[in-house]
Amino acid sequence: MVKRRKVWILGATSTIAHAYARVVSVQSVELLLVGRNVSVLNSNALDLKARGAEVEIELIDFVACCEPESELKKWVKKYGYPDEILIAYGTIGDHYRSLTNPNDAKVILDTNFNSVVLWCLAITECCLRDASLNLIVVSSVAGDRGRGSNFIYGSAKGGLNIFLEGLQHSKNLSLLNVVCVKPGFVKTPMNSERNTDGILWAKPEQIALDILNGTKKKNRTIYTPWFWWHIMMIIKSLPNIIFNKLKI
Amino acid sequence: MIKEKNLESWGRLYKLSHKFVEPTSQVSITEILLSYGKDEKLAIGSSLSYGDVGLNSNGLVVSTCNLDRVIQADWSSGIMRAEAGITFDQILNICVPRGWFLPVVPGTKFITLGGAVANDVHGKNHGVAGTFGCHIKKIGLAVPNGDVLEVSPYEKPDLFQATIAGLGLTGIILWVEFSLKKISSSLLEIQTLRMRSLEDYFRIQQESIEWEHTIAWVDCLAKGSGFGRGVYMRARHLQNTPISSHGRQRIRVPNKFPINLLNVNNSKIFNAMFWNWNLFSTSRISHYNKFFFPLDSIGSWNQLYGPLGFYQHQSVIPKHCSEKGIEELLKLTSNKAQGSFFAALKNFGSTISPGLMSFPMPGTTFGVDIPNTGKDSLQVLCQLGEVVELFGGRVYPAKDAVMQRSQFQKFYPEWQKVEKFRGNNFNSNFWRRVVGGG
Repeated sequence: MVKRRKVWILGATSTIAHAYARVVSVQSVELLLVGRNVSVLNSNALDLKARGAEVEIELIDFVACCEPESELKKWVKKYGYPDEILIAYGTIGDHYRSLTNPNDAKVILDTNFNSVVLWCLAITECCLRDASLNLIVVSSVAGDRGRGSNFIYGSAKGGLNIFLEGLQHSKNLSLLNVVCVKPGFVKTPMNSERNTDGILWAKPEQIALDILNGTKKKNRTIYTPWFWWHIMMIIKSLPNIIFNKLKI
Repeated sequence: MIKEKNLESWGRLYKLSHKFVEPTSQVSITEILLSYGKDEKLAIGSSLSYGDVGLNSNGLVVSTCNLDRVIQADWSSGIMRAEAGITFDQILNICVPRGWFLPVVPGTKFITLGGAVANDVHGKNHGVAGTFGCHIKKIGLAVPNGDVLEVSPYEKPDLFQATIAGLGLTGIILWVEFSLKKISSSLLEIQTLRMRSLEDYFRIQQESIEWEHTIAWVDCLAKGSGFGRGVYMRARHLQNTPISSHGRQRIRVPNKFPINLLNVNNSKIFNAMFWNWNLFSTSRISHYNKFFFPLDSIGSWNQLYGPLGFYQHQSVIPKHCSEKGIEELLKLTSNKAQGSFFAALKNFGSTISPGLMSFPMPGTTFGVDIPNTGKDSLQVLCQLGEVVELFGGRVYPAKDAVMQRSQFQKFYPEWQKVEKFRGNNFNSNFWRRVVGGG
């Protein structure tokens, strides 16, 4: 009997997360979907079961949860140690409102940085055992360089990128395979107000496949789609005197 | 969140700004129906209809593409229930590895399930399987007051029949329950035979009863001794071979392709090459993806017609006068030199769809792409429609851009029953053109 891989998805209602869950469902997997919207989680679970996965659901608000370790220990006891955890929740927020409203800025920083860091640290405490664990975290190209149009979100993701680099570098966590995923423009409900028809816009399915393939190749950082590595290399290399003239 | 978006039909004849919303769940759709009660709405899927059935520039367009989940699948009986925005491409990737196939597939797998119902699509096996509507068990339909009705042959059968081939005008289809077809192979045995004339087509069609899938490419531009020549293809599933689903699309024509590569002169050359390439009858084994969906391997192939776009004429001529009617249609395209490489003949059998406005009738269907060259192409399309009307056939709304009001109402006399369910809640540019109002 084939041993099923246990894959936990934190932020399972995200479009990228569901696309990834679909992609891994064709393998033999036990999925744990974690999020706060029970009706979307249930719909997603039915979809994934039809595709061959075994699926369980846990409800949680990641930002509001004060004790991620205690939740993780409960899940480990209930479902066993995971082989892979994908963290895919986040919020882009309203950048211009956040400039004048500190509460809005706090939501962006708490959701995208503080909460994710605390959950990652709790995972290193509770979910590691003798076998290796893939910890895949969805960050963003926005974290590669601060831009005037979204630097609050960008700084949260930038800080997250450095945290994940450190986790990867940590000698104490050799069984932890940390993967930092940096999508560019993705057609998701989070971007529904924007014009998503351009050539740079990717579908969540593309991102999911890139995560699957990149993780298999043991890449530490995955720019998805691939051309964002080149775009961000140019953006990061531009001297300030030129970069500051760009309206991006 | 409503935004302005330019929508284009597959034929690229229309590029119109629309009020557009992309809900992410079935609940969001019912909320939209309640919140935007005054707007005339139209649900859309993949926007692969050639004409204006999928456009609603005077109202609100509701995209179903985010509603693409499977709700339930029974792999022992082959019954699936899925949200309307799931594509045939996604369904096949799920069901083929489990030994099931869709009972009816059109020429592309990128249509949505809701679009397949709204246009009651047919395939190359109509003689055996009828239309997709013949395999539907139940539909979950969101209606203007926000309710979700389950309609079937036994529950609200009149609304069920109006919704199949109802062009999205009776409500917003949220989910569809339908039956799949059991397969034990993803491969097909395919035979190609040379047709020297139209008579050959009808003779070979009579001899192909044991083949589930049949279609003939026809040279719609050939004249003289070559008139009606073509290549007849017939196929059937193999049994008991390893099963594999299909891969991803790898090639895409860039947007705003600047020229019409498929103009009449090039098409005459392609036609001659294809005719000569198929000198002899052949037999081969092929994966289902290549036989059913040959054009899907080239993304955005419609761009090859250039910025002016193209028309598609697809009509059916009743069985008793098929030979004469198809001959007249082909005479128009070849004499006026209006057509392209893409022209095909298919057989329609006697299975009647439950859909009130379903296109097929027993007879022969002719489909042809006609590049948009302005007045000349429009004139030929109108003349094709007149020939169809003369022979008692009808034109397919999903492909149409020129049908007149009197023609549509003659082709589809049951339109008034659909109009009753439509009320003033749903509409499309096509419906305004052929029925008026809105």
